[in-house]
Amino acid sequence: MEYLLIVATDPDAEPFVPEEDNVGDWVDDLEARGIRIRGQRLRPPADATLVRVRDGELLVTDGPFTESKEWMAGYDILEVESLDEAVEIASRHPMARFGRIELRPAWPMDVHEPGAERHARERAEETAALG
Amino acid sequence: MTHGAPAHHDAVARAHRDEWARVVATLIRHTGDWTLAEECAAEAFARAVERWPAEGVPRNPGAWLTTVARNLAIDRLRRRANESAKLREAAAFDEVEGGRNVGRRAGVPLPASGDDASEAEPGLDWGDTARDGVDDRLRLVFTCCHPALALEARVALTLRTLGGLTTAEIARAFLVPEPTMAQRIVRAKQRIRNAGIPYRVPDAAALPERLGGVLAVLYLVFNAGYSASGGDAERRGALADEAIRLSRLVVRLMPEAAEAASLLALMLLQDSRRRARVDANGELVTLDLQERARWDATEIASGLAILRSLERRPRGIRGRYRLQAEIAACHATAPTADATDFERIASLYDALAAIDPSPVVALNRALAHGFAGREQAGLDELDRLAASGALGRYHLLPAAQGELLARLGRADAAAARLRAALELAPTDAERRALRRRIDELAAAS
Repeated sequence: MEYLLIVATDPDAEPFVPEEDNVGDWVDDLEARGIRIRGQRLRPPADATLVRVRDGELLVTDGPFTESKEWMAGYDILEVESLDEAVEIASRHPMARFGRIELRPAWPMDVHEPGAERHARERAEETAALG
Repeated sequence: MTHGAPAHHDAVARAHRDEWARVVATLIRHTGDWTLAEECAAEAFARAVERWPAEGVPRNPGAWLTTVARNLAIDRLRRRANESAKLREAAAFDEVEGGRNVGRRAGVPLPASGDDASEAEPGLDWGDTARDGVDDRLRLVFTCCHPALALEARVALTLRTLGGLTTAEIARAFLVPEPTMAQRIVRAKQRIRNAGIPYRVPDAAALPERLGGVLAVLYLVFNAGYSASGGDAERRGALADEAIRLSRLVVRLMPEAAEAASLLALMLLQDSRRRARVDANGELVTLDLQERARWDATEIASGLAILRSLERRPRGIRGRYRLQAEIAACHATAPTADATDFERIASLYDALAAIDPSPVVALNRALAHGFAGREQAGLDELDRLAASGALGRYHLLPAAQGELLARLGRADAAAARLRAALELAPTDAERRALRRRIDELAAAS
């Protein structure tokens, strides 16, 4: 299964200790095992750009500026057997201690299926499952 | 005239109790489909009800049920495969005929299921034991209690899929509407599939922590049944029985796990008091006033036997369930409330507080030292706890203060604390018990 591993800051976490940042070892291990497809650190929200189309008009601004102290600081894409393996890998990322990690499973879809059909089919499946 | 039928009925009921988890667990490993597994298992038991009276109870009911359920599952999977093949054919036809792009849908990968490679071809490799030789029921235990599921979802799945209770029974026990419980279970199964929760026993490194999670779910179920303070005592008692049954299963599957055995001992020792906890009028009876002859001697003996067997093992760190079970054993073996070995209970609470710094343990530890003759030290500790605010408006804190004050002969101060507890007590039964205690103190002074 494919997971997006989101590295985030967290004000409740341990203060960052640069000497204990062993992310290089973490990446080397995963790459040797062919688990990490790619990943990057991200520039902070101050360097973000927001793109919207409203009433047919393109709006490009800086931001978003939120008051939140928890922001996405990086990402990795993992290909693993199961959630347990992804959790074990996430637990060894230094930012699990100094921040926090969110794991999001990929939700595969056929991008060529017409959107209206997919929407109707998935709604019907959900209704059937819930009885 | 009733020959045969009740015996067969009993045989099916017994098989349901003993074999449900095995049948469902094996089917989940082979199909990766929890709902299909439960439906086919239920159908297999329905067939047993029909056929066993005429054909006789099979020598190995579990194998019979698994085979029937497996055949039902294979039929359904074949039918499903045929249907989707027909859909694909129809779609391909549409495409040729003029049109639309439906056929490409087939490219979507199926979600991973189980750790067995046979799912792609239902009907192949239907052995009873996985290659790793792990009992399927143990996979089911750990998956139902996976920490990535919400606690209430773990409880519901454990009772439904592992325990074989119906959704209606679980809903009644937890006092929620049946559709709510049904939805909770469906969502939990969807989450297992969507989040990629594996059908697997955790690695050795993760095992102790994960086993702790399993035991916490079982103890929660037990307590929901044991503290029959709301709702229907009868139905909730069934939950305590179920928790004990499932704990026995975990102990059988993991005989080396001392904490699992300890939890079973703890449950048995606490459950032995079930009948004595409520009097003829349905009123709660506190431990010191219970009629000890009404305690269940068989359960006490089983609980004590487990603790003795643990004593014979190489000494390791005693876990929280072990310590709690030993505390329960002190009460179970005391001939009278006054003859209870509170000194030993206090030292067990010292050990428990060292590994579990929760305020409830601190409260009980203070109370135990007070009952061991160190009332003032106990009261000082309770004052510190009250000042910390960690127990908020927990009624047992002022109740404990009241008890220790009463032991010091300070009846007025004791009554004041018990009245404070009365204000905070969550149930009528507890309020009535506190009122009786207040009256008792007033009569004595």
